[in-house]
Amino acid sequence: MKPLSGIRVVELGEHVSAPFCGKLLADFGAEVVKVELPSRGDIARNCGPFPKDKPHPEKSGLFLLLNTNKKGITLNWKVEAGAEILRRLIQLSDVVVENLSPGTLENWGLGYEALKSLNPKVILTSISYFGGTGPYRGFRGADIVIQAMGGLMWLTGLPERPPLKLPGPQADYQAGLFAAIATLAALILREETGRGQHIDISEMEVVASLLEGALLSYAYSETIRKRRGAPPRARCRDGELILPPELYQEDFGHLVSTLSPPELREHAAEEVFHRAQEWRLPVAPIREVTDSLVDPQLRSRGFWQELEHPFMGRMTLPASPFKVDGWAELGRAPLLGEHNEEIYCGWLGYSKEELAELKAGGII
Amino acid sequence: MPKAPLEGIRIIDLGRIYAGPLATRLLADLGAEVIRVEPPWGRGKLPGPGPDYPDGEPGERPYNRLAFYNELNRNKCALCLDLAKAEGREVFLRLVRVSDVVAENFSPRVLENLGLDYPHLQEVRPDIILVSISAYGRTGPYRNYIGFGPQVEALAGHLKLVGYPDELGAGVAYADAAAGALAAFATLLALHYRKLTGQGVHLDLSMLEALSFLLAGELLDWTINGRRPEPRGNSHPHQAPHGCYRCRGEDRWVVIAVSGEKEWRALCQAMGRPELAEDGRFSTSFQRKQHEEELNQLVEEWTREHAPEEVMRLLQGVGVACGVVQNPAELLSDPHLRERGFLEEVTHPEAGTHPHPGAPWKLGDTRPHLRPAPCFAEHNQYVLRGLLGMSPEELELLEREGVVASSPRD
Repeated sequence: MKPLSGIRVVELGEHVSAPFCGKLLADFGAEVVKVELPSRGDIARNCGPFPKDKPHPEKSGLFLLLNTNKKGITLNWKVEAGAEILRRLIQLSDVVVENLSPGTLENWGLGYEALKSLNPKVILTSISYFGGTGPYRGFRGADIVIQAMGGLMWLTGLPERPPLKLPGPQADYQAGLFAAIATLAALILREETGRGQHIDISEMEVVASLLEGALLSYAYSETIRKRRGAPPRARCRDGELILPPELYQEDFGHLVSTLSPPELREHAAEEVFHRAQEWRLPVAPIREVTDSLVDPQLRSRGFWQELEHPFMGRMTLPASPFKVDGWAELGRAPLLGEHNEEIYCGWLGYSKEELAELKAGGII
Repeated sequence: MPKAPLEGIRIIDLGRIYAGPLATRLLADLGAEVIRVEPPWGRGKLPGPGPDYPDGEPGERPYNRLAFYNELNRNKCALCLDLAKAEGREVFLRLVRVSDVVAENFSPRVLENLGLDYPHLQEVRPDIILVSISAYGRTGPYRNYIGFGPQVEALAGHLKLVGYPDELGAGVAYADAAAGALAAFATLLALHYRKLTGQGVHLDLSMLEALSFLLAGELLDWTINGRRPEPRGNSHPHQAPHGCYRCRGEDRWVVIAVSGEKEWRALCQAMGRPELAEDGRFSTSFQRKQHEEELNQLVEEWTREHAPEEVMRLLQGVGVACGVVQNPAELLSDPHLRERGFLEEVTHPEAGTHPHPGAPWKLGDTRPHLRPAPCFAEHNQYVLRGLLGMSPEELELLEREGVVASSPRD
């Protein structure tokens, strides 16, 4: 049994943040129905990387990574007939996850108050760059803008050079993760109260919560922490090792000093890594990110999983970020509209003829 | 007032430093009762005088005044208990009996060596949830290896990707943040699982996997096209201009992210350089990407003349994604965060009154309730007498034997 068996989620997600939230719920057993506009689908389908750089809506690496285990339907909910279908779907669901610009759902008559009157138990999880209220509500965002405004970039890089963003859309990922946390908490609360909630996730606030205590440190001493660059390192024959953090070095002092520079230069970083661990010395080599695909530790724990996809052939994707037997099983992302029949006929009771009409009318 | 989502859930927090305490902090923010169990020798390594203490002063009890600790442990209780002593472990198991979750990020084998591994916890509380965070995981060839966040970032390849083309640049412990947040998520999954099945679980979460999970997108071009990811700095694979630009003033910066042609034209107008929009070198995002270095210089020539706030106001006004690289001081006075109530004043008895970052979600009508981080051993009475029903004599005996203390031993 998976932890979220029996939970139904409707995802109105584009690009990274809400789809990542939906993926976290789907990977652990929730039934997540991803709703895509029939005209173009999730914009992540345009993002790639694509095999040989040839764009194809079913071959975007980003889309296939972020939409595992979901069911996919097409629906033009921006016309009344489509909005009506979406309302029926939401009546049957526990959670709606969305990252449309703040106010979009209200404009289509699908704001939280409207959803609550349809289904008082529904939880609406809204993710946006800055949040659903406040002076920056209507600002244009991008992952780098949030890493900057939320304070992460200020702390990343070298003091004499420009601040840096972290690799990949980390603000979007963290926002999706925090949205999943708040959603699971709201589901627990609902067991007691019988009522849903509206969750408002601001990516900027999420990033400002992951600054290693730098905010309170400033509040305490009015000293602004500067960028401090990479942690302490030692050079080996073929690369570098990361040493224990300065504060903890004295605990390992005698061992750190046995890693004398001339001797280290005679040995490979990987060799020193394994040897030092035998002495309980927490050092590690600086590896390439691609090394993680062949790392014996990740492989032995089944972290990487191979998945078959009708357009891509075999793909390698991460399974679960933690181990519990039977909790996670990786299923591929849906093709555009792949589960239309299952959801429209199975859940909502449309006949195949009606489905054909909806298709002809451009609704699905 | 409506109740908080996790009211009634009790968590024992054996977390140290960052990842473990962050996980339980997020659950405490959601209303769980989190009880830290800390040994009589104190709260671990403390830095010397400096910016992590109020006014830079450690004071007589520095362990109660450290910003890093106090931000990660607000909304929690603190009990002092020596798990190295048999009596301490006995008290611990009594506490487990009335708790829902135990969370820890010791080195692997520490709990086993104490006789407090999962089967022993289950003996006193069959549906207990144990959350174990380690550097590399509890199975596999590295199961006995130890490491801090920076080691994990190096091993995962994160460190190599955060940087300038010619130099490493990482600064913040990101593996701990990733693992802490994922552990909070995993704990909530376990609570759902328990409700469905009546069973607890032992969660085995590694910082290496948490970080690799969030870096998987950076590997796609390698697995799909065989192209090795390189540190990209602040640039975007397809869009330009996209980066961090120097502004007027010392160490002041703005980021600008142009996503399409409309935004590009708006930027040219705002810079007072409408002719650039007609320049063939910059006519499509492909072209702009080809001439990125030149383009970035042109943009920076303009931003250098302005304060970052001015650039942001101007560009946001014409629909271009742009933001100030805010430092901690700017964040604490940010009008948006203030208006949303993200920043809350909290009074700590030994550190004073300061603004804190609040809960990173607005969850309907449940209000986050910020309480200051506990002083060392502050809740000994509450836990031992209140929750476990010990007599004053019993407590006194434990104190005399050094199992429980009210201030850290030197």
